[in-house]
Amino acid sequence: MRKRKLAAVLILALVFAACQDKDLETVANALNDTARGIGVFQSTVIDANAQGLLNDDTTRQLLQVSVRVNMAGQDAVAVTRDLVKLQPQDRTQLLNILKPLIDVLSQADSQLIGAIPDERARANVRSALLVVSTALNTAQLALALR
Amino acid sequence: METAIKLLALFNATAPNVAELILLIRRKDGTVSIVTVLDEADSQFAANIKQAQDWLAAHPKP
Repeated sequence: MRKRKLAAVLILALVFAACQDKDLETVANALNDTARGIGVFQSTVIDANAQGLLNDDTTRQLLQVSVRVNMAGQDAVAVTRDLVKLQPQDRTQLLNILKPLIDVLSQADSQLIGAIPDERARANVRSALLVVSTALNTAQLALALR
Repeated sequence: METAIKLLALFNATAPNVAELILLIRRKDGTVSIVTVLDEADSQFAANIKQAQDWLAAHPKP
């Protein structure tokens, strides 16, 4: 009898799990993609610098941008961690954290990456940045479309 | 999913076999809990910050 009750509760828990907020799941995955993407971006920038394709000043500025993205990403993770469902105020809070990053990355692309003299290095750094921008845009869309 | 995992922790004490079975279903299902994804993201962000700060410390602005 006790085992039957336990099984019933477990089934209910699984049903509840299946109803998990899809937007929240999308945001969590997008944050993970952002984290991985910015890691690749940094490594690409540091490698290009080591190969002499990127000067120290540009590398420094690009890494400062990435630190900003990483710190904001940690803030977004902290907000998302305790949520079971995204409420309007959560969406606003997360958008306030993530939206400025998209502008920062766009500026970095036009002002810093566009000025990288080596064509291949420029393309590699830009591709890595595009992955991050795409992940952030995915999170932004999931947060905004309700 | 998070609530299900928390419940599993409770059940693990009273009915370990049932909890194991459900964990097996979870793995077969291929889904990963949001907390796990966020943990991965958090660790990666922290590692990224360290990598960037290490480089910046090794290459101070002249």
